[in-house]
This record gives sequence, C-alpha cells and structure tokens, in this order.
Amino acid sequence: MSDDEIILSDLSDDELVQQMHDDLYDGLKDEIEEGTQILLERGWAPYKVLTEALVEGMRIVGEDFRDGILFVPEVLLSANAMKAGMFILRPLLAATGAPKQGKMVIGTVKGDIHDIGKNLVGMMMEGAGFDVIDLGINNAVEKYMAAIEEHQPDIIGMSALLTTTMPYMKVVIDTMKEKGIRDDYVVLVGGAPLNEEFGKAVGADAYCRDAAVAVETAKDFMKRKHNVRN
Amino acid sequence: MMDPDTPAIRRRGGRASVVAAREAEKRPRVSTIKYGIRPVEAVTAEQLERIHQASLAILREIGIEFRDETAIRQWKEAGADVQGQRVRLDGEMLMHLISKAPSRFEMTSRDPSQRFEIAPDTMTFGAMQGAPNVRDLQGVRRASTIEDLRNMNRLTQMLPGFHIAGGFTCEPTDIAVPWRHLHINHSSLVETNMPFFGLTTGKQRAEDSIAMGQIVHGKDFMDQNAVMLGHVSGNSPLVWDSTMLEGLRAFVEANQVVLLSPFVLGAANTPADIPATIAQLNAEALAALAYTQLVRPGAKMIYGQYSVSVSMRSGAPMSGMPEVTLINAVIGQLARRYGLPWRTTASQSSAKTFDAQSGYESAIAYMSGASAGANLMMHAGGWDEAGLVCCMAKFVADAEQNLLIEKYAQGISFEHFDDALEAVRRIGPGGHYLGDSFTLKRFKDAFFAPEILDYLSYEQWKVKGSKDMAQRCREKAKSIIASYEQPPMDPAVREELDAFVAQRQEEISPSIA
Ligand code: B12
Repeated sequence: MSDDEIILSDLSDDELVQQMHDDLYDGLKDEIEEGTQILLERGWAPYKVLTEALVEGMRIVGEDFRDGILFVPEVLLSANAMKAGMFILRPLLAATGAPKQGKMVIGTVKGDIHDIGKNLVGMMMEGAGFDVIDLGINNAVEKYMAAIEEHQPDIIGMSALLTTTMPYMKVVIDTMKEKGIRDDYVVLVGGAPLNEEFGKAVGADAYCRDAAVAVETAKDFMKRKHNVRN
Repeated sequence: MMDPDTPAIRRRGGRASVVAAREAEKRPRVSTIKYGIRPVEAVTAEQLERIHQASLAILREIGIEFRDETAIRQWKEAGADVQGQRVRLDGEMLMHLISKAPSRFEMTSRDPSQRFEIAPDTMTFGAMQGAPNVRDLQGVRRASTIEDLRNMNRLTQMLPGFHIAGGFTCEPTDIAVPWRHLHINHSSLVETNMPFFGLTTGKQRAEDSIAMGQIVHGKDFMDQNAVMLGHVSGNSPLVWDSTMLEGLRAFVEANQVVLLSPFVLGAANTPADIPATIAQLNAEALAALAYTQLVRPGAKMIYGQYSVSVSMRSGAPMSGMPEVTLINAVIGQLARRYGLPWRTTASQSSAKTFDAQSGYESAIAYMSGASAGANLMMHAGGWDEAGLVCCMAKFVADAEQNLLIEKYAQGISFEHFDDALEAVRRIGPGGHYLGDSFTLKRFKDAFFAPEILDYLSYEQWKVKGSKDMAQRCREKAKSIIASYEQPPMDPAVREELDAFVAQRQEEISPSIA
C-alpha cells in the first residue's frame, strides 16, 4: 500500500496518534517504536503517550477481536507492537511516577499443560499495557510464591483446563492466606471448565470467561486500587 | 512467542481499511468450482458395466413409454421400434444420440460477472424448489406466499454459496394456479440477477417462462447463452409424460439447459434392490437424455435423478439413508462414463423442525453428493419435510454449508507445502504457530471460518443470548433481507416484463382477479 511512504515525523500530534492507532491495528512494531519516540521528543508525558496512543489503539484492536473482525495471529502482532512501545515507556513511566497500568504473574497450575487460553490472556493483557510475567505450564505453588516475591505483581492469574487440576488453585490461594499476603494481590482465575461459583469457592477475586473479560476485570481492579491509594 | 524473522509487515490502513477489506474478501458469489478430490466409487468397473448393460437391455427389451404424440413421431422418424407409446431403443442408437451432447457448458445471466461452467469436473449449487410451505422468520410453519418467495430470492441473491436461483423456492400459494408461474418467473428475474430455474410443467408455462427470460436477457442473447434451466422429472417406472416433455422441448428449442430426473422412490417405483434400482433409473435417464438430443442435437443437458428410499412403515420418502449415498456414488460413475454432468439432491431432509434430524440428513446428503463428484448440487438450501417446507433458517445454514462443501470438493493444494514445512523448522518442538509469519500469511484461507456454526464457549454463547442455530439463522436472514438491494434493471425492460405478466393473466383467465 502506498501509505508505506508516510513520514511519521511530518505528522501533527493528532495525525500521528491516529496513525499509531492504525499502525497498532496493523501490528507494525518498528512504526510504533518510532511513533512513541517522536511523541516523547515532542515533550509528551510518557503516561499520555501510553494512554492516548497505545492503550487507546489496543482498545480498538480488542473490540474488533471480540467482534470477530480481527483474528488471533493479528492480535498477537498488535500486542507485540504494543509491547515494543511499552518497552520504551516503562522506565520513563517509573521515573515520572505515573500511575502504573499494572503487573500480572500468570501461569497454568500444577498437573496441567493446557496453555493456549493462558497465552491468549497474557497477550491481551500485554496489549492493554500490563506487564505480564508468564510462568508457563505445570506450576507448583512454590513457583507462584517465588514469582510473587520476585516481581511484586498486582495480579496473580491462574489457568486450569482439567477438573483434576482446578482444585490446585485453592492450594495456591490458601498458601497466600497462610503467608498473610492474600489481600495484597488480586487473584484472577480462568479456564474452560471453571465457572463463577468455582472462582468464589476457591477464594479468587474473580473468574473470567475469556481474555477480553480478563482485561476488563483487571483494569477494573486496578482502577479501584488507585482510588484507594488516592 | 513471535518468530523473530516475521517478514516486513506492511501498513494496511488500520481499522477502516481492514474492516472494508474483510467485507470485500467474502467470496464472490459466482465462479466455477473445480473438483480436486477423487470421487468415491462404490462399484468396480465390471459391476458398472453390468449395470450399464442391464439398462440397455431394459430399453431394448422392455422399452419405455413416451406418453406424448410429438415424441412418438420423432422416435419413429429416428428409426426406433415404436409400438403405441412404447419405444424400444437399441444401445447403439441410444449411445450415438447421447454422444452429441456437450460435456461442458457455461451458464450466465444479465450480470456478466455471473458465469460458471457445468461439467463432469465442476460443482454448482442451486437453491431448493417446490415447497408449498415455509418455516418463516418467526419459525412458524405456514402456507407460503409471494412475499415469502420474494424473500427467498432476496436471500439467494445476497448469500454467497448459490449459483442458481430455485425459481419456485417456495410456492406463492396466494396467487391463483393459472397465474402463478408468471409471478414466480417475475420474482426470479426481478429479485435476482442469477441464472434460474424456469417452470416446465406444460407447454404454456414453459413458453411463458422462456418468453419472460427473453424479455430481460434478449432473445439473441439467450440463443447464444444459457441463463435458465428447466427441470423435467420422469414418472418411474419407465414413463416420460407429455406435460414434462412439452416443457423439455420449449427449453431445448430456446437453447436453455434441461435437467432430466428419473424419480426414484426405492422399493416403491423401483425394485427393492440397489443395483437393479440404478439400472432402471439409468435406463430412464438415458432414454430422456437421448430424446433431448433428438429434439436438438448438441442441447445442453444434465443427467438428473432424485433418489430416496421409502419407509415401509408409512410410504414416506426417506433421505439421508445409506442406500441413497450408494446410488449417488454409482450414478457419478455412470455419468462420468457417459461424459455428462449429473445432479444430486444436496441438502434433503424429512424433519418437521430444523433439528438434529434435519442436520444429520442434510449433512449426509451433502457429503454423499460431493464425495461422489456431483456436478449440480440441487435443492442445496432450505429443504425440510421431504420438500414440503422451505425453512428460512435452514436456508441460511445451508448457504454456509455450500461454501464448506465447496472447499472440501476443491481438494488439497500443495502450493504452500514447502513454505509450510519451513515453518515446522522455525517453530520446532514445544512452540506454537499462532504468531509465525506463515500462519499470518495463510490462516485466513488455510482453514474455513464459519459464521453460522457456533464455536463460542458456553458462557460467551450465553452472554450473546443463548441462541440455538435456528434462531441465529433467522436473525441473519432478517438482517440480510433488511439490507437487500434489488439488482439494477433497465426501467423499460421492467415495464415490458410487468406488462407481459398483466397481458398473460388477461389471456389465461381474466376472471380470477
Ligand atoms: C487443546 C486441548 C488440549 C491440548 C493442549 C495444548 C496446549 N498447548 O494447550 C493437549 C492435546 C495437550 C491436551 C491434553 C489433554 N487434555 Co485437553 N483439551 C484441549 C481442548 C480441546 C481445547 C483447550 C483450548 O485450548 N481451548 C481454547 C482456549 C482459547 O480456551 P480456554 O483454554 O478455555 O481459555 C480461555 C478462557 O477459559 C479464559 N482463561 C483461560 N485461562 C485463564 C486464566 C486466567 C487467569 C483468566 C483470567 C482467564 C483464563 O480465557 C481464555 C481465552 O479466551 C479442551 C476442550 C475445550 N473445549 O476446552 C480439551 C480438554 C480441556 N482436555 C481434556 C483432557 C481430558 C486432556 C487430557 C487429560 C487428555 C489425555 N488423556 O491425554 C490431556 C491432559 C494433559 C495435561 N496434563 O494437562 C478434557 C478435560 C476433561 C476434564 N473433565 O477435565 C477437555 C475438556 C476435552 C475433553 N472433553 O476430553 N488437551
């Protein structure tokens, strides 16, 4: 397409942000890095770049994924482009004390190797601006505890696809309780055989039926957290 | 997660362009579908020969009735052994006549982008015909009206998946019988711009159908191009009657396509035996096919057949049965031997609601036709209650099945094989392909992505209103009808067409109104 010749630095701020929304939609990593740099050079606050250019762009991507217009491989690309932008912004956001989008540790629980759904959730969360630490599959409680220690996340996400491994979520949550840290974190759970009641029964903060709901729920919890702090 | 060497991804123009492109990507409705799979063969070459020889023996020794003066005269002139209405044909004469038929021919319409080939290696889909009832947009079964027929034609026109409009997809029972055919053709011509089935029941109806086609397409154009089909059914066992033969002649003389269908109700009008049923059916088909070439050498024709078995509990026709699948496979073998395109009944069911029976029977009918290499997938949309109901919901579901079956029929492409194997090297053990460059390039075409069949999780489905297939289809049908736009037609032509209907009504029977 001839738009390949677009010179990002020639665009006005508004045009550039529009173009970045398009570029995120099209999964263009280099262009998103460049656009992020340009906005920063023009004196935009890192938080403004994040919310107006990146998060807003990914919101559109998320909507069209939900509505069946975009497909998984394309959203993966968009999320990757978003991640590249985040990589530039992250140290600056920390330095300027901007409100954090949030950090999530996610993993499939012990005994379970299903990870397609978990990967999708991780990807959409990154796309929404969250830092995501993926523990992979088959995670024992010790792994979760070590990750909590090391990364100090806001959210713990657990995935299970087997009725035999679902109960393990309770083991993790109970261990957090024992350590007196349960209330310091938001616990989200998901996986095809789970449901609302199960989430409550194991003591999670929320059960999410799909990746889109996971992002909404996570954002919601982060908002509440900030309100409490303010 | 991502492979590092994803090739340069280019700007597509963001949301606006992608949404527009996704719309445009939807397959253009009409094109020739070429078979790429090898057809299932149910019998060996020797068994096929036995059936063929049995058909010839039936025609030679028993003969077949042509209950029609003109046909009898034509057969006598051609040198057949004619006694009364009984015509006995020898194999040589028969096969010589059939050899005059074209193996492949094109159909088109007033929209030149609609052009496809009917041939022994292609697949074509037509909407159902003949239902006196609809299961309507509320799911209610009732006698169908002209407005229902118009809606069916609107759906046929809008949904990808159909090459040919059914003509009387449902019957406009609110219009008096003597006038009905005029309104049926009028709707085919006005609501669609597709090739369509005209009406063949009797000379007058057939000639009116052709005349109306000629008003819209031009007589010269139709002398050169096939835009209409006439369906001519036989009375098994071994009878072709005058009403249908008059229709046949009107269509053939106007250079339009005829579909010649012996009508098998297994064990009711054929023997209770599969190969003997096929031998009889084939004899009936061969006689009509040969007769068509007698009327006009080189006439475009399709080897038809409607096959169901009959319930010995009630006498009702049964679709989706294993015998019908076997019959399809053998008819495919025979038609290929004769070098003629052939027809199957793609989506037939006897269910009283759009339920599991409807789905099972239809799915089997589809697969049995496609795997046997059928060239006209007839009634591929809406057929329930053994043809007594056109189900609007099923019509939408079937339209999607047509696309799915089309993809199956096209078979396997090795075009991307080597590139794809490279992806296996790139990903190696334990990774995933969702972000790989090859996946990105190919995912849209590599695997079929249905819209009507539902693949949501239970909860997502529940959030969207817990809608079953019938409900989703009805909603889709409503939205298609709401967004329908009539294909353009020269106002002068439209006026002439309307005037023809008015004039013929007057001539046929002014008192009806
Ligand atoms: C693919 C699959 C596999 C693949 C997994 C490959 C992989 N890399 O993940 C393989 C072949 C390895 C596999 C193996 C097995 N599987 Co399996 N598998 C499935 C299948 C067909 C699809 C799962 C899937 O990927 N869905 C697609 C994703 C996108 O959906 P999702 O996982 O539900 O995730 C979404 C939501 O749930 C949510 N979500 C998920 N996780 C999280 C986490 C958080 C924090 C949040 C917020 C949200 C969230 O968001 C996601 C995105 O929208 C399911 C059936 C099904 N319909 O679910 C069976 C199924 C889960 N498997 C099953 C079984 C039995 C097995 C095996 C035991 C079979 C065997 N005997 O070998 C093994 C178990 C291996 C093990 N130890 O874990 C059963 C479970 C039955 C039960 N009652 O427990 C199922 C239900 C199929 C069946 N009916 O038999 N399986």
